[in-house]
Amino acid sequence: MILTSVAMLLVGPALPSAATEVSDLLSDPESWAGKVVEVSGEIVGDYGRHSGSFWLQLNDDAYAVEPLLETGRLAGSNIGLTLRVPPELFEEIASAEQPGGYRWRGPILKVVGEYRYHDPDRSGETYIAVTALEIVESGRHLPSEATGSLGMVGVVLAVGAATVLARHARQRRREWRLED
Amino acid sequence: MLIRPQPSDIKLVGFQLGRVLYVVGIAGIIPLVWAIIDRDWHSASSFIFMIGLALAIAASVERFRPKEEHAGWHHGMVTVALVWLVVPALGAIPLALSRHYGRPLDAFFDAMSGVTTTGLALIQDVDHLASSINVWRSALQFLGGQGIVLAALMLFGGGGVLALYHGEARDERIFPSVGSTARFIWSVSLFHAVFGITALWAVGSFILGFHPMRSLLHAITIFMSAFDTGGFAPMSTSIGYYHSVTYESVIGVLMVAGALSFGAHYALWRGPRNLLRNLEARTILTTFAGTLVIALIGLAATGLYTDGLSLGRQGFFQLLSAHTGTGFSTVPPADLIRWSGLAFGGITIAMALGGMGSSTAGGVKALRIGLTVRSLWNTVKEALLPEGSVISNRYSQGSPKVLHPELAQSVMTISLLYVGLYLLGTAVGIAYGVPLQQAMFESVSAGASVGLSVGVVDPTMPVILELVYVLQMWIGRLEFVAVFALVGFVVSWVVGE
Repeated sequence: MILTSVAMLLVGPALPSAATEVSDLLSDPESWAGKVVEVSGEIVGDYGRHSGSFWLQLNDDAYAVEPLLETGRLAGSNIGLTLRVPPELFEEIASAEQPGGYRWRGPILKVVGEYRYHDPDRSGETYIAVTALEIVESGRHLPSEATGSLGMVGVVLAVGAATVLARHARQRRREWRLED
Repeated sequence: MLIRPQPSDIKLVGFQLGRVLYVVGIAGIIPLVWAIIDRDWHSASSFIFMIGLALAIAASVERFRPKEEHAGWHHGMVTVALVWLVVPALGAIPLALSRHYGRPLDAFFDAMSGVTTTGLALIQDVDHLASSINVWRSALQFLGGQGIVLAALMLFGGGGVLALYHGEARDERIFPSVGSTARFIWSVSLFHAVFGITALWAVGSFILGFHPMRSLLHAITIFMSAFDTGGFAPMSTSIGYYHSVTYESVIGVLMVAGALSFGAHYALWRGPRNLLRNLEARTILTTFAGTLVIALIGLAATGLYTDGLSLGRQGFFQLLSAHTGTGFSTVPPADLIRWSGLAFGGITIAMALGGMGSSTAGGVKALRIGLTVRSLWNTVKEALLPEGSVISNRYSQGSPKVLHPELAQSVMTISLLYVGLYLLGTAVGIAYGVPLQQAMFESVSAGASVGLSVGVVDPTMPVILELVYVLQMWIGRLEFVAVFALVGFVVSWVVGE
């Protein structure tokens, strides 16, 4: 496992509470609102940039630890939350890592930030305003096996269908000629 | 005495079904191309298999082609009901092979949810799903929303056109022929596709800062789901993923466009005044305003949002999504469950009412609501006014129309059937220990083809409940008649003489 420490820039006087999980934040958001939290998980989707910040989705579900393509184990829906990352913290992630998606396990990040639940400044959005982050594990390719045999069966079926159709078309033309 | 269908009837239904399967085969080419561009050979194989199977079945029933097509009303209805079972079964193949579903039934559930434009999903780890599969999920919604049979009618024409057209829950013909109406519907959709995909791509690329290719994927999938009031999104956090009022606004326009009937699109094209004369347009504006006020008051009472702007943005989007039957959400299910009291009531009523008739939205539909209210009001007036008073039973819907007692009875029957459908899922949910409020919310969401969820629809849900939701989605989308025709056809086949 490659560990790459990027930054630990604590901004403001608040100290992080104990590490928590996104599912805890989602199930009891009001008790966490406005608190500094520490969460870890995989970055997935896109790196969006707007409103002077970078916007990322962090998933701390089972797939972040055991990717589906590697283990084949299903573990329910994704559990994720948005991170709002200031540009100075984001630069080093972006240069090295792409977010997770198909055949790619995104970087695992540990982040510290304020949990903003229904933030009035963002007309009710919920996210973590990140003040510090660390890349715990780099992104990596995931294996993907092609099932070529199934594709071949499909090709055979399609060719068979085309043959049947051609035969019917010939037969119809013959019938029309006879009718004429 | 029931008359048993003849072999020729079954052959004709099989032949018409085959024509529709060609459309599925052709539609599968879009995600196949996407998979090939992505060098995603696993998904490509699954699409080739599905296309091959669809074409093989279609070709095998080609020999049932009748010399003269004498398709009647019942043939069309039975065909449509079967189409809406067979197409999800075929469409589920790439989903099931994607390894993102726990059991084949879950993939069928999602495919049914797709073609009925519901948007409830049992897919797992959607954030790592292949792009081509995401495109296929949205394409299923587009295909279902536009009308699979409508697409087949455009391509092949043929007999029994009118029954097939009505079977897909389309009541109006904008132009004299079904063919020209079908072409108009697809032209309107194409116009919105160009506008919607361009707008979403531009916002994604230039405002949200996404990579242009990723932005295109988001734009295409979100457009198909929004315009056809489907609700599948490429990311697990639905529209909350984008954190953008601009993106939500474009989606809002597309959802409204999708919930309008194509007759309303035609009326709008001729001038907004024509539209506002319609009973259906007035009804939907009234119900939307009413449910919005209820939901916002309820949401304010929960204290979840501390300022007016947050309350307005989140309440408006969720309500619009519910009323148009789309099912997109900017808040996670765990958050939506806290929208209790009036907020819950407002959203649930909006879902149950649905959009306009002959649109891609589900639910009871605005015209039926308007006609039911008008009919009840006339009854009240009859009771209150002196005997012999003349009570107008005219209304405007494209042109002046008369509310006959038969029509009033028909719309009330369908409305009551919807209530029954919603109660069925609620009762089964309660039987499995789901709290009443959540059971009702999820049941209405399934029966009205909406897709908003408070978390009852989950990969661990009981199989019976899952089957009931599948049934609700199927019956709700076809608005009962075609399903009843199929049941009648099967019963006649078994016990008829």
